[in-house]
Amino acid sequence: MTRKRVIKLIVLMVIMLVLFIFLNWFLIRTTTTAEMHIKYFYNEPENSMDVAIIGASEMYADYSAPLAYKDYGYTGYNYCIEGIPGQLYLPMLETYLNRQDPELVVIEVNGYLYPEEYCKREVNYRRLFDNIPFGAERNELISKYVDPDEQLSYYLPIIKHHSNWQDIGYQAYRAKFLAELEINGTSKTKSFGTRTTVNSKKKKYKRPNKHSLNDFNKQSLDDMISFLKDRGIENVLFIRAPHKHKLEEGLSDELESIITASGYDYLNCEDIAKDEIGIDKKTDYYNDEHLNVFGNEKFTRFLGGYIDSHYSLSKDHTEAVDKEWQECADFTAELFEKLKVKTLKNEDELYYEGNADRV
Amino acid sequence: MTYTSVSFLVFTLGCLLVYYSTPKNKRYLVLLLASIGFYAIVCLKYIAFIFLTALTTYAGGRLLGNYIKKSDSLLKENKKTWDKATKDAFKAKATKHKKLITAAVLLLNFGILAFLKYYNMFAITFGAPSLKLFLPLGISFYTFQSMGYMIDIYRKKFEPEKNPLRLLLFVSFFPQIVQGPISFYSNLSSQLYEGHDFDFENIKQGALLIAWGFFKKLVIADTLVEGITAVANDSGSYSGTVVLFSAVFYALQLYADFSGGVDISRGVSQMFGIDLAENFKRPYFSRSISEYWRRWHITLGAWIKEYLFYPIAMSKTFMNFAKFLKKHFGMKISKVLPVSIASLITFIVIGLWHGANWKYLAFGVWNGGIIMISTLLEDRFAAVKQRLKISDKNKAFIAFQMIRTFIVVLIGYYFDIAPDFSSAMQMMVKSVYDFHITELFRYDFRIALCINLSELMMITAATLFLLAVSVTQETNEKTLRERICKKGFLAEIAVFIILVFSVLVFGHYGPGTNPADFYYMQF
Repeated sequence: MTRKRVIKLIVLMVIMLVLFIFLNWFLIRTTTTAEMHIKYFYNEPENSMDVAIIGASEMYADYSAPLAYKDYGYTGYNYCIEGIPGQLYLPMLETYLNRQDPELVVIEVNGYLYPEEYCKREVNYRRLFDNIPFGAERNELISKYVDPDEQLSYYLPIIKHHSNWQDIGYQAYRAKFLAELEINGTSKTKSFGTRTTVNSKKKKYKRPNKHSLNDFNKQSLDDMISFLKDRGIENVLFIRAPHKHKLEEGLSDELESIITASGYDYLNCEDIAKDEIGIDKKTDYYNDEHLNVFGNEKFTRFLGGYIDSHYSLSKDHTEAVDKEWQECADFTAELFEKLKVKTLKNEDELYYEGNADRV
Repeated sequence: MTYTSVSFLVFTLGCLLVYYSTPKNKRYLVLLLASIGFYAIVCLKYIAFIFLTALTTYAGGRLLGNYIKKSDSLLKENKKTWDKATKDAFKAKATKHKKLITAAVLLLNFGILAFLKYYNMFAITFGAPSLKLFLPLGISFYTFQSMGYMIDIYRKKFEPEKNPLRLLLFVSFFPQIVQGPISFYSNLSSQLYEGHDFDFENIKQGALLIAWGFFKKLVIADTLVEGITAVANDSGSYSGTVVLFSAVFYALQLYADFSGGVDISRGVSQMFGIDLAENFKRPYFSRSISEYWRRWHITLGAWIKEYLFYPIAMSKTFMNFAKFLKKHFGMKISKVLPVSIASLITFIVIGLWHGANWKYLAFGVWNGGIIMISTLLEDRFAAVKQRLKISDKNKAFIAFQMIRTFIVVLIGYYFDIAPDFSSAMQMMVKSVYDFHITELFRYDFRIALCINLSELMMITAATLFLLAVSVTQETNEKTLRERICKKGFLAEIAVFIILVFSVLVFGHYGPGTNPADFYYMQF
């Protein structure tokens, strides 16, 4: 092999690599919100978070991290993905802990209450793993949490997503958001999503409406508790975010007994939604499972206060981090005012990081 | 591990690295280990069958070779002492003995193939109990190839291979085991056993051919397969338009699938410095059905011609039949009719080789019958052409011949896609009497063929690309790869990148898709 040939081969490899990276960026698509929440998380400065918030859509709809910062001074990104089941909280938390060193972990328990069949659906795994940037961390998580027979298409997710070329128009439209994400750096709302209504007509993805702490979920919860213990994490708050309809009889108690027996805290916000948090079922939800901006403001104030009073967080940030969070808090406060107006008009549109700038 | 899997590419790359790092005289052993390893990975359960074929072919070949050597030398030694009658008696005895050895090996191996492939068809027909039989990977291909070797020894074309490992490699060479091409020992053996030097040109051209094979298989063939299967399995529920287009799609899918697979086989072999025989020469450009069969599955045609057609046509029975015809019907008929009948028998065998179902018999009869009629009426056609002053070089006439041939081929494909003979006939009738051109533009039409608008546009573009490449190949002596590589680095990488990324983006693969096996994989 002559030197000239080696150079030619290298040129070929480089061109192919560049094209491959571009196609991955352009074609790999799960849901836009999951994509934004995860990708923006990786743009956050390392070790800048006081609190890790793990959960499904309840958390990024019900709780605003910038507003909590504004009121209580602690930082905490909503590392939350819509419909994510409990067994995937573990890789989510691992991801969080690989970049951040939070003093408190908050986990919303809804993911532990889905049927096993739902939990194992490929789409849930895709939403998480296909949005984590390429690298050793991602590979490690895949080898740990994905069925060995399926791993190849997670290591190389274009195997799964290449047929998105058929939606070329939407892909191009979406590429604009992705480009903005790269330019913006960090998220101004620190992972957020809402609909501007008090009763959304938009059909949700088919998600189970009957909750149960089945064996699969119990195992997932046990695995999480063991992980937290192994990592020596002491401050952990499991919460049940306020939903319009309360959990089935005894389910919350069962959760509470498992969690508190392991020495961690449990807070069922459904029991106190009306009296302590002040949530009004008629005006503060956008659907059965999610609060709108009015509800969000109330719940953020409540949960922020609860965290602030029960856990002594050091809130020790660099000047740059504080400056950035302050800007985010101001932006989010202003955004909420605009969204409230839209909610009162019952506009029923989705707002999240991708379009928050254009409200 | 199919030929279109990432694991096969990694496997091939590993084999290439080991092959070129091994001393030249041992390189065939690398190929042998790779071939056995590949077979074990894909079809370990039935690996004993291929070993049995290799063993009986080796032992039979050696026995036959030794007997030929011994009898020939005995004849030579006694050339002067034996009188003619003794010589003839000895020759007859030797021939009988040689035939016995050859027939034993042929019967055993074709017997295994026939039993595994056709037992259930006869069981169903004659009410015998069915058995759960599976076909070992590539059994037809390695049986044909091995038995060709055996017959050639009988015909004294070469001496039998002494090294059993070398023969095992000839039988099991991994790039061709799945679906051929079927090689003659005289063409392939020396290439397999010779340790080839590393040649960057071979790697480049091999890589281009593999990429082209992937393109044909994953972008064209596999995208179409779902719709074809759906329509074929329930043709009664679809309109004639859909049925007709499923047949047209089948013509495209089958060609892309089979030729794509063979391109991958040939590309991989070329990387090892081994030139496998071409199996396709733009068959849909054929101007007659006999030309089509010279361009389609060329190596099977060559094998059948060498070991079936000629032995039938030159057999004593056919010779006597020709003499009889000459005496009673004249010279012309005596020349044409026996050949036509031999050809019909050959096509019936080809038809049955395609599957254990009476519809394949019809497929064989259709193709053989058309060739037979064409041969018998050749003079009449020539006279009509002369009367109408139509030149064979007339482009419109060439186009007419191509379209006519394609229609004949397409009719044959109905037997292939339909579940049985009567369904095939119904589908044909429906395609003619229930065809509505306006349906082509309706959404239901695409739904029926399980293809959306983007895919349809992509398939159209890919087919036009395939057509353009075929036209270029048809009008040039050199292969397109050679010509691309001559144009320099930029042209090479541009073509390679376009093919690779077309497969990556437009290919039909990945979770949620139902990967289609190569059509000829289970033959």
